[in-house]
Amino acid sequence: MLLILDVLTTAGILFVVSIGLLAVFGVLKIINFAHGAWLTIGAYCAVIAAELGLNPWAALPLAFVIGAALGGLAELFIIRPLYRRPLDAILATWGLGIVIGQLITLGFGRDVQMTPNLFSGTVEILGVDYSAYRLVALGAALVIGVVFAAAMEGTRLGLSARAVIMNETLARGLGIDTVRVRLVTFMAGAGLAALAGVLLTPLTSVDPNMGVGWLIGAFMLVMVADASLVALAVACLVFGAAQVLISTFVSPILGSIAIAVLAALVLRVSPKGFSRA
Amino acid sequence: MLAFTKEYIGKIGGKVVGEEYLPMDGSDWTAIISKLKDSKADALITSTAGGAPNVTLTKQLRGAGVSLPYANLAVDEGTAKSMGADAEGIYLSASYVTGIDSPENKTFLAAMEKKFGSGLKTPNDLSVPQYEAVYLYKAAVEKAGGTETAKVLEALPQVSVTGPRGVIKMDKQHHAALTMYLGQVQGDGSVKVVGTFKDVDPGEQCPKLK
Amino acid sequence: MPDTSALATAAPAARSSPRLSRAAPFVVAGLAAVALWIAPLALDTFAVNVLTRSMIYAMLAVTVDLLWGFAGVLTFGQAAFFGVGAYAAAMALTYLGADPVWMVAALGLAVLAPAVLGLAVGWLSFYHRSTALYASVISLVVPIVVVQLIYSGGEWTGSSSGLVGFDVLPLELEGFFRLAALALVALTLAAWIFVRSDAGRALVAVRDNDARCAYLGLSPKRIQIALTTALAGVAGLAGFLFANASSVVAPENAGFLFGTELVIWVALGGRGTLLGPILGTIAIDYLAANLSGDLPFLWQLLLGATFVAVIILLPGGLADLARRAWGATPFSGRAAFAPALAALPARPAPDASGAPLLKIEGLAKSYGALTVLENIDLEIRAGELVSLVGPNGAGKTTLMRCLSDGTEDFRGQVSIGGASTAGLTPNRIVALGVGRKFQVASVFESLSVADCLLLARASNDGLSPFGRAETLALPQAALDVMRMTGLDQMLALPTRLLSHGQKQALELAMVVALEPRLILLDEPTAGLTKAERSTIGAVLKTLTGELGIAAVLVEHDLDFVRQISSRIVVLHQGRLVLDGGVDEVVGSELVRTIYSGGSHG
Repeated sequence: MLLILDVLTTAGILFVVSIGLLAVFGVLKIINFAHGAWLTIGAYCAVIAAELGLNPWAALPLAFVIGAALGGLAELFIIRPLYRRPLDAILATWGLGIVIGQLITLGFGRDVQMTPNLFSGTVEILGVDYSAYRLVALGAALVIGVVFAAAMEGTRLGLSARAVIMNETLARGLGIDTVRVRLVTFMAGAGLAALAGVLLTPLTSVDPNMGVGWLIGAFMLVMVADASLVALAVACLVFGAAQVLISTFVSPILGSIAIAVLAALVLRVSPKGFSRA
Repeated sequence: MLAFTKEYIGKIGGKVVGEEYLPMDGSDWTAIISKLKDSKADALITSTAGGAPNVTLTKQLRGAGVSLPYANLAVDEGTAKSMGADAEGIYLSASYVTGIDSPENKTFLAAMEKKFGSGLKTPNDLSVPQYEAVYLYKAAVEKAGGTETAKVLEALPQVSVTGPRGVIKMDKQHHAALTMYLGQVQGDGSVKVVGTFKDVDPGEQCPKLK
Repeated sequence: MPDTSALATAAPAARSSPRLSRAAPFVVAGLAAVALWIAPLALDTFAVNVLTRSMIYAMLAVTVDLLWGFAGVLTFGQAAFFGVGAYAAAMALTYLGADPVWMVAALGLAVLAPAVLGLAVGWLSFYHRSTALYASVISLVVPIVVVQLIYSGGEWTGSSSGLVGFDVLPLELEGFFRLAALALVALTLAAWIFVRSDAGRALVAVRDNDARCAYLGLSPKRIQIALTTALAGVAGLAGFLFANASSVVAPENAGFLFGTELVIWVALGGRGTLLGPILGTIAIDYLAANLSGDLPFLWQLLLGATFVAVIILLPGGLADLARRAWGATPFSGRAAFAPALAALPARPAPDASGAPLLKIEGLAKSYGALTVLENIDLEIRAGELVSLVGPNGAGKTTLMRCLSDGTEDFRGQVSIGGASTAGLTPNRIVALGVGRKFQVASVFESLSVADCLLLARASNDGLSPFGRAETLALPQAALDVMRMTGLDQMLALPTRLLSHGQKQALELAMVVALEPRLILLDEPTAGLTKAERSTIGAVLKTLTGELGIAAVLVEHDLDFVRQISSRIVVLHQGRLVLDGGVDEVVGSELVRTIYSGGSHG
């Protein structure tokens, strides 16, 4: 029972962490290697919210807004010039991540920061005592996924974004302002990453390098999902399960590299990953 | 550390019901915590890399509702403080904790407070020994009459210094016998000394040295 | 073509002093080695120590530059190979000892182990239809896996503490400095000669256009795998030197973060220039050692910000700045290299009466529910020029693709000269004697005209890894294409400066240079002027009529088709609806109906 809950909540957390990266990759065809830095930015928004004496949950909208605003700047000055050089964009965003990490270090110091608990305690579910917060995180993943899907399906911008995902040249030919679609998508992706950063604070230490550890996993999941939200959910569930099962029954060390290795092998067999299924 | 701990637990009639490792930079303790809960252990002893990994582990332990007696061999007072309420009740062992009730320590803490004010980082058993070591080196240089390495080395075991941890003398094979403290983190982040082990002998460290 | 004559005279000028220019790298390398040999006398201990490490890192930068700057493979994985080499050496020295015999064994192991891993990684990263991004993904995963293996190696690898205190080569600080310097100079010299050789062109060709490489009969994947393997071995050698010089190895040496640092150094120095990455690495690592103590966060911040700025504004790195400054001086007028052309003896014309050269039986292809080709049967004999006509969407280009790539997912049988193409990658079909010209001219944009032709001959004649061939022998038909289009006067010109028609002609010359038995041409005259069109028509007639080559031509222009074809096949809605002589087909009611919207319907 514990195992099932572990798998589901792990998948939920992975989904929350990866969805911002997926949005950016899907529309811009660019891998944002500063994604980890935006997770960190989000977590430090929680630190700031606590210092301002706000309700811990208020950190979520705060992080989304700050993350999206900074994302807008990054898109304008760093992503936009590199739009035709996707491999260079990986490097520039990695460099941006270094810069952000060092700015946070200069501003807040290298130490671990204290953040208030969003939700503590355990609940009795299906006969076991389980971390309430992990269930909240799973719920958050579902809410974010549903809202994101609804935005893609139901709004004008979502429609434009889907058009750009399918065929950017054609979309531009049809009069869609692809430049604006890219900007808004990057801002949304950055905002979601920052949001994920806040949601991670009860699970991990908050320090300037906290985001890097999550980057590779999110990156591999997005590669396998190839711009499809459903495929990302499936990938999180499958690889999250693999990580938990291998950690439980074989070795946590192998479990920690399970996502990266399995995703690489899946891509070798099927370059479009799970999105084709 | 863990090898010694396991041996000791066996010796006093306890039983190790599980032992788990995560990579140094690992941050997902989900599976390990679930195994811990399944094992119905009575107590938990951990030894992670210091700093951030401790915080991550403690957050996830507390989130999962683990409230066993918990001793952490690798946490320092400052890190414990950054965990807030999650750290309450954790046992730690160190040759220095701020709660040492001695005039030397109180003078030291007051002086640190005066110098660094609100920017003061919590002194711990990594920083205090360094602080004392500089004075010990000074004393050795003075005794040797210069900074020539061989002479300073010879003088080192013969001098002593009185620091926040009391009298420090490196006379056991160039190591110092230290008083070890068992502390427990309190609700306000301070560490209360719950046990004192006077002048623990460092044992055979450098048998060729006197 | 106003600048043709200038280039034609420039090319021989470059050949006037080949001996001098060939000796120059050796002289410079010799001088560098001597200067570095005496350098420790003038440097303090700290500088000697740090620079030893920097020079070892610079060796890695050379490998990253060859992979990324030249072959276009962005890799973070060189750190892993370095780490494996360093650990292999350290473990051998720890557990076997440092006797001369074991030292040699440690060296062998330090090169071999990463090379084997490199072979595996290369095989995983590069396969038919693999993407550049996938190779980068794998290069990220490898260091992560290697580091975890090191962590879980327990006492065997020293886990997180690494290995220390093993016996090393009996050298002083200065000795290690000189050893690292010699290794770096030797590696740089070898890399320099290699990238300037004919074989070096192949790296750039794979980066520019790996599909074209495959359709010239070269295996881009094999080139990439070989390069990955060899450079993994070189990284292992650097690891061996590092383990000896520092007598410490730690998991960080193999990690992904170190891999990204290497890429940063190469990018700042200037990818694709060899010297830029070397100087960049040494300068940055040395500066880091001096500054990171005093300004730990600020230094990282500056480095990160500079890196971002260079990637965006100056993709060629600092070397590009230097090159521009040099370009502004009067000494910079170095002429581009071009070989002299020569004619290959003609091959005897194949027997035109024998079995069909190309045989298609029941070929069908569909994308999901959409059927693109259905029930195609066709036989083509040597010497025939068969035009494939039909409106847009009839499946012409798809058919060409099925003929030239046996890994395409289609049903039915395609055989060339009796050999089935099922499952064969394009380069292996080229080896059966098939040449394919694409609809959109597919050449190597960063290479010269002569280099493109050189690569077209590579699958027959091979490429020298040491230097440049003085003459380039081409089949007479290819020479004719060159001469008729004036390309023979532009051998040193970069292809990106060619006009659209010139690129089409160059690609045709490249395909003809393969000496194929069967040539597939997808709209070779699209967008060409009337004069260019008749030139190409004449060439095709010669190829098929005199040399006995079979040709399949996709074409919209019925007048052109009528002039040159020996047979016409009409494709309509994925089916083969007519197959017959020129007059029979052109005069048919069916063709008139299909084409009723005009010849470009």
